[in-house]
Amino acid sequence: MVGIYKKDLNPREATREFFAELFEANLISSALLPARKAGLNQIFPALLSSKDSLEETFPFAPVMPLSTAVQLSKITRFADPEHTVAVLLRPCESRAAVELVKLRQISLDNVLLITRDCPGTVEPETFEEKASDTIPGFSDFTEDQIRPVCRMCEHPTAPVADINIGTFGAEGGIILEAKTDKGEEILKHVALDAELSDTSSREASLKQETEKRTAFMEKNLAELKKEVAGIEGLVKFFAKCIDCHNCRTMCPVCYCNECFFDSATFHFEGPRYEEWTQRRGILAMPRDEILFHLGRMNHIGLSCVACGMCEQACPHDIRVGQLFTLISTTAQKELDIHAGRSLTDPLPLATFREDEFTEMGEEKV
Amino acid sequence: MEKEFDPKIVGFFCNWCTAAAADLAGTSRIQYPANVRPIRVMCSGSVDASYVIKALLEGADGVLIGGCHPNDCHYVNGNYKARRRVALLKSILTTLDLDPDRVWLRWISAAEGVRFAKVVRQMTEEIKEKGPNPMGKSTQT
Repeated sequence: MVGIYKKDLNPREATREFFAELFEANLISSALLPARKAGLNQIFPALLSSKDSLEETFPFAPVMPLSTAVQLSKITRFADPEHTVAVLLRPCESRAAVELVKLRQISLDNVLLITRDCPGTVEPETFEEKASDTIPGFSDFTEDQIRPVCRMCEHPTAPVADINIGTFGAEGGIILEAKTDKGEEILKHVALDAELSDTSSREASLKQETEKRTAFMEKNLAELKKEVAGIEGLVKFFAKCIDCHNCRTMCPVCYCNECFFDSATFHFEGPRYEEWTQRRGILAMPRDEILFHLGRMNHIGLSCVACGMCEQACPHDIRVGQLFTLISTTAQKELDIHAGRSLTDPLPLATFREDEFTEMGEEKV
Repeated sequence: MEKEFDPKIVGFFCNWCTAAAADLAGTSRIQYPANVRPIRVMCSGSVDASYVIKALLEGADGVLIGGCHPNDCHYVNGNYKARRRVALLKSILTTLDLDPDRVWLRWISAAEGVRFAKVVRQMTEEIKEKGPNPMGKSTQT
């Protein structure tokens, strides 16, 4: 079912109304939504128990301090199936959540997964500068201020959701679309203005947006590829890296409780350093930061949803999210893997197909 | 006269096939270049890409991963998983212009001592032609 909802309201107000209806009809017992933190101009996800605090929520605030997928993982651990929680995710968060479901880090059993179209986000600092008494919207920012990973994102709408809140192609209000049986059931209880039989203008709007972003991605990544080429390029790119691992901490799909790169594998005894120094003459410290980034590309490259949380968390503004976008889009295309596409896709690194890469290993000598 | 380049190759050999093939090559007295530093692992599927990258960054000129032929894995399908992981590693190395041809994956069964010697000979020659690995030469790494 696809329909127009509250066509006289803007998307923020219409979405608040929609969640209010879900609460009123007792369809949900709580909701996870982007909200103003402690009355400040910071927007973070917050859990709501009723419709009373909905005016503190800003579903379309163009800022993402962290990926809500990770918070969803926390609240669905041993969750009570009697209580439904509705969560509002943007496309990259939904795609990260799909990867975490595949990795058994999220259970969607008691979750009503609501996604919304996303035009892009700005850095939290940029957002805070603009925010005053009013919380700014996407149109308050110039294109240059939008994070490059967002401008390259080919997913303006989420592939997996119970219900999607569409803004592309909406001329007022929001477009509610049920994408699962659970979503259909919910929308039966919601007062739509009109059912949308012809979705062609929405599709055209999404296609135009995707094409614009693809064009920017191709140009941007081609330049980046030239810049990082070879070990000299890579060393230069990561020259300011302080090995803090913030990028990994904020990565939604890097879920391991103990990371390999924090393990005792990398604890060496003093004499080893002495030996390496004598052999090389000069030994750059800290060790292994290039290995850390290359290793992480191999560990999560096929699950990377290009949300750019790594880049936003980097204290030295290394464009690590753009580099991971380059690596992951290329590798996922070559290996025919689509991160975040479907809950039933197999895990990329734990599975295989007998008929893939059949020429590898077989060379006759 | 300048000393001829003598490549260092790190080998990750599956306990159940390639490591045994290396042993067979030795006991059969088949000659092959002594450029490979073998590391016995329990399965080619247990070779994390980080170990391969670490070797390349620390001065290895090539890395050879030896596993069981398809359908012969001692652990049912570890070699298939290794194959996908090597494909991913090579995709990443290619994107970053880091010479994916320094990483070889070869299926060598426990009975293939001759094939083992041939693979090592061929890899040593090809790496010799490529010259030293620039990844290991950078003091910045």
